[in-house]
Amino acid sequence: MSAPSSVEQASAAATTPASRSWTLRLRQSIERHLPMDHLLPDRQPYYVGSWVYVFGVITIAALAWVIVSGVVLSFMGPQWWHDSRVGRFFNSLHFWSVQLFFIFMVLHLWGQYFMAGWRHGRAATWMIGVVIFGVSVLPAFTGYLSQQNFDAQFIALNAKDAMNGAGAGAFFDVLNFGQMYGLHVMLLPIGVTFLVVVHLVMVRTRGVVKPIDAEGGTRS
Amino acid sequence: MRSMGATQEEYYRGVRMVPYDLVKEIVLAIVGVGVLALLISVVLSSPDVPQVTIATWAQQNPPQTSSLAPQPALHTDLPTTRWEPARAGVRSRLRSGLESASRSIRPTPL
Repeated sequence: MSAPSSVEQASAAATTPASRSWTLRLRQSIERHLPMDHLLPDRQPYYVGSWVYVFGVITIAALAWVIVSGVVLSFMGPQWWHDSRVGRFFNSLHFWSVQLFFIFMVLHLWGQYFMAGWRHGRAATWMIGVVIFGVSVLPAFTGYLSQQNFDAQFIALNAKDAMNGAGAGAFFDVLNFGQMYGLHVMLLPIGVTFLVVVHLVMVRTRGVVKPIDAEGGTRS
Repeated sequence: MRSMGATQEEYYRGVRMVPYDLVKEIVLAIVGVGVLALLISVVLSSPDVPQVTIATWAQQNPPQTSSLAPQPALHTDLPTTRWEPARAGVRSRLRSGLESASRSIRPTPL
């Protein structure tokens, strides 16, 4: 066996301290848990060809339209969707994208529930999906509060009692348009999008669960 | 966990794999859902109740707007058709309480 070359010695010397590098460890962890062929696979199990798996991707598509129309509305300001025909059209597009988002999300949730999508170590993926459904109600709610009309005031005044009863009225003031609008256009969309990204990464990391009683599939 | 497959390769062992274009799927989904949302928006529009502004209020009731500062909260003859049935009870209680409390408030001369 020949002695290590100078290049190999230099390489070893360079990698030893690097093993303590947070950056290197993060990169290695990402490469280990989420390689690119898992993140963007070109082959999937045959059962993924079922239509029930479409509900997940069309939910994301609806979310994309919610965000695009919402960015336009927030850029043009909180009177535009009442004052102009184009604004009213974008308001409609935003509204119906949200309705589609919730319809598709509920269908995806039902599909995964009856397929027991939490099996085989995927409980966290399922639970984050349920959390996304719950959290998504908040931007929908603050959206209704941001309409600046009597509908918004009616909802806000009735919700105020519930918020006070729940002890949340002091820091979640539904009568405060600025606070509700800020939450609606900034924090809540970021929160929902972040959770969706985590959900997607978990699906891609673990792969799609086998159907019950499929090849090698089990009920537990 | 081991029986479930430590890796995707182990988990999918024995399962028939087929070609799948993930990027094409999401692009088609975005286009399809966008067309659907556009069609629904064009056909159904959206529930758009006009916003309440000082201008619309002043046009509907100029004397009230210009006479008393606390008056709107007490004598709400604003365009409140949707609001009226559900909140009538609350408003009447509010009115009686606030009216007695506001007797000491003087009108603002203009």
